[in-house]
Amino acid sequence: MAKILIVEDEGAQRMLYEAEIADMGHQVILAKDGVEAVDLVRKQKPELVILDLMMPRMHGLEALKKVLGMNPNMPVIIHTAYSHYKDDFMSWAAEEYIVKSSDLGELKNAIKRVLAGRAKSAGGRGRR
Amino acid sequence: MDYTGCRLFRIAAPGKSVDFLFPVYYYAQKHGSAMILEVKEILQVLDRFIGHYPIYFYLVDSRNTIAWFNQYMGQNLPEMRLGQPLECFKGFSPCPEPCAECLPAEKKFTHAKVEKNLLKARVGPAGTERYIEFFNLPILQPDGQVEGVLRLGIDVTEDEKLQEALRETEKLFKAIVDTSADAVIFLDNEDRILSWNKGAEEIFGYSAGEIIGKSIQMLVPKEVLDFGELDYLHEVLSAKGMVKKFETRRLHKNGRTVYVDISCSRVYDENGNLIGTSEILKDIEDRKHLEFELLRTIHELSKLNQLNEIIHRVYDEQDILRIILIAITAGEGLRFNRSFIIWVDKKEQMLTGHLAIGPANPEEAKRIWGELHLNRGFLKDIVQAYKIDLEGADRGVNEIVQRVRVPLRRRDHILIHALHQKQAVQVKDRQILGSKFPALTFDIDDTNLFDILASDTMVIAPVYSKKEPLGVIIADNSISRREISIEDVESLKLFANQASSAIENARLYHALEERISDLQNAYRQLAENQEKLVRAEKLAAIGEMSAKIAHEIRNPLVSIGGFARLIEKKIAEPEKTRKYAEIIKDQVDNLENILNNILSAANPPKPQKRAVAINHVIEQVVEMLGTALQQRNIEFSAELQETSLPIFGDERLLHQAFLNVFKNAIEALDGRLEGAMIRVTTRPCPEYVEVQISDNGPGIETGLISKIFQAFFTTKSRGTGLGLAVVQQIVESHSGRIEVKSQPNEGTTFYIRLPFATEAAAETVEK
Repeated sequence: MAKILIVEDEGAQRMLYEAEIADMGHQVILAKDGVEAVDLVRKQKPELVILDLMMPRMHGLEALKKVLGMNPNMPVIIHTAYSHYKDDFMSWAAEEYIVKSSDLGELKNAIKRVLAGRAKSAGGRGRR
Repeated sequence: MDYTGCRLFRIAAPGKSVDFLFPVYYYAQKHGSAMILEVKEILQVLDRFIGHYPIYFYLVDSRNTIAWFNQYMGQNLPEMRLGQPLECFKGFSPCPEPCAECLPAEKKFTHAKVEKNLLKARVGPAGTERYIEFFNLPILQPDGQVEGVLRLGIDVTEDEKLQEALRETEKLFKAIVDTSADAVIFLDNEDRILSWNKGAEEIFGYSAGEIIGKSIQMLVPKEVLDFGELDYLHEVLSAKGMVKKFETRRLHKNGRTVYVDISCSRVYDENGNLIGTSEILKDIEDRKHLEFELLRTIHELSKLNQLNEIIHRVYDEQDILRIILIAITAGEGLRFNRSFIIWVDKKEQMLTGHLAIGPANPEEAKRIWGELHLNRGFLKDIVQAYKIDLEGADRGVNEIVQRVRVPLRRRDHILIHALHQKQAVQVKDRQILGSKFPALTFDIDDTNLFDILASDTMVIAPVYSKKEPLGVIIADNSISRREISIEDVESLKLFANQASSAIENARLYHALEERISDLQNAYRQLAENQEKLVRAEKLAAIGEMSAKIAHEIRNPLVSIGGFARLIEKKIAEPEKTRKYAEIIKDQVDNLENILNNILSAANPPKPQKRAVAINHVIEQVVEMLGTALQQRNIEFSAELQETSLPIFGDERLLHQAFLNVFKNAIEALDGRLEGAMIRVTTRPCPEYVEVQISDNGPGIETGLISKIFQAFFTTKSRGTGLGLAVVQQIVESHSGRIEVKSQPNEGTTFYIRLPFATEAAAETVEK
């Protein structure tokens, strides 16, 4: 059971991810843009951040920079409809880069992987 | 009274005139001195009446002595004495010099017949020389014996002076006529020659003796005669009395024709009877020759001018060379027999035979030019018609010309000399005409120019551009052997000059053409690149659009698929299931709207118009968005005023347009946690209904307002950027207008005005 922050601007998707990830047995907190996400990371200290990129107010990569600035060891899974941000080296700082799909299996696997890896070695960085 | 034998004398003196009726013969009643006395008495009485008239009156008796004279005579001729013997019938006694009229004693009175004598006498106190005309009136006895003579004298000095002047004039005139270089002749009414001066003899070769009395026709050439020229001249003479400077031809004695100009006029006697024609014929042979020369020169120049025109209209160098050759040899051109072009070969540094034209023999020449002559028109037609036939007629000369090869460095060679000095050279019998030439050679390889061309006489003219010598033209008359005249040489020189400029023009033209073609290529490349760029941009745009579409579609799909899976799992939890289904429905609507916008933007649909109640459309849109408004805590208010008239439009498209505007407002309010508000009003105006849709979102940056209706423009992190573009397109397709007003941090209002349906439009709808 981990505390997971889901950052997603689109309401329906927020609701979907909340329901699905809560079903996995995790505690879910929600942010609807980058600004809120940075704020919640500071205040709520989640163990994992699932980060959308295309969001109003603050772009996900900008939020990623800020989050890692506060906690360099914070695991982040980029979860976006766009695939081309994989080419942006900033995105390499994330543990995983998952392209959105209605089948949340991949996202869920990524969450399990990251949390499992976190448990094994507390200092491991970098995306595989 | 019987006046038979009387004669009327008019005596005229300055200011007065008197007529005398005198008997021709006076038959005296008495004889001898008694008769004289009788006459004397009568005359004395008469003299009282006429004494003041300037009339000389005296009586000579049978002894030839002066028996009586009148007062006037006594006053003016003081030497007159009664009884003085009359020595000379002509003059007064004594006669100043013996003459035929002086009377020997035995011939007394034999002259006493009615006659006139003109006497010259010194008259009056001053002794002025006067002419007096005397009439003799013999006095006869009834038996006819002369008894004496009454002499009546009238001063005719004035008349006589006139006569003398006339005689002088005549003499002068004759002298003029005689010495005139022009032929001055006089013809009678039958055109026979009556007079013939020296000038006529000079011009026509006939002496006066040979031609006087002959008809003028013998001087007229037959064809001129046949042409009816003499009749024509007579007509003009009859009509105008004269002919001035009529130019024609006449025959010389030797058969040669002479150009003359004729001036003639009718001649009448004092009674107005036509007595003939005077004719002056001027020899205008020299002038005519000059005129012909002038005409020939003009013809020559016009020919050159024509050639110039032809040659300057051609831009192909080979064509120009062909025309040069034809023009030099054509009968209508410079009329040389053959013509050769020897051209500079820069690569080889040689002057090399290039092209030639000309027949091999006289027969061929005749055939060629005869053919051209048959269908000849103008020089330009001939030039265009004739092609140099390297295989046929022109083969011979072209083989010849190929053999002419002279290295450019050989400055002592005639051809190179002509080329470099830009000087035409005339060669006659292997000798250069003119002395200013240094010793020049004609050698070519082991032979020479003359033997190669089989010609000893020719003209060589250079052709050169401003920059450089181009070559030489050689022309000759080796077939006809016609002498090359100075004019021929001059013409060829002039023509060669023109040919030079034509070739230079052609070269410039080609240079220009190349430049133009370079420019055209460059332009084409640019255009192609431009097109590629546009295509690339389009591809990029399509790429961008498809990426957006893909992602836009992905988002609702994630939700739909995700919730569908949740429904599957949570089918037992009705509350959640209902909510998830609602989300699926909304997301499908969302997807549909995205697709509609893409389709509208890509290919704007033609509205299917019918009467539409605008408030109804807005209500439907608001109902559809109900969940979204609720979920986002957006306060919504509507103030829809009733409109009496419908809108004439496509309900589906209008629905799409308003849905986009509302969605735009809702999305603008995203991120605003509380107090978010959307307000819609409809307000009927006289001709249109205005729909205002306002939100209190962040507003649009001033600089971006102009862009919000552009396709693919979006300020949002999500969206196709097509929504408002589609709205504008739909509003405009309904003849409406859309405007936007926005204040940053206060909100945005869209104003959509749609015109009411006109009655006519409404009627169409009914049907």
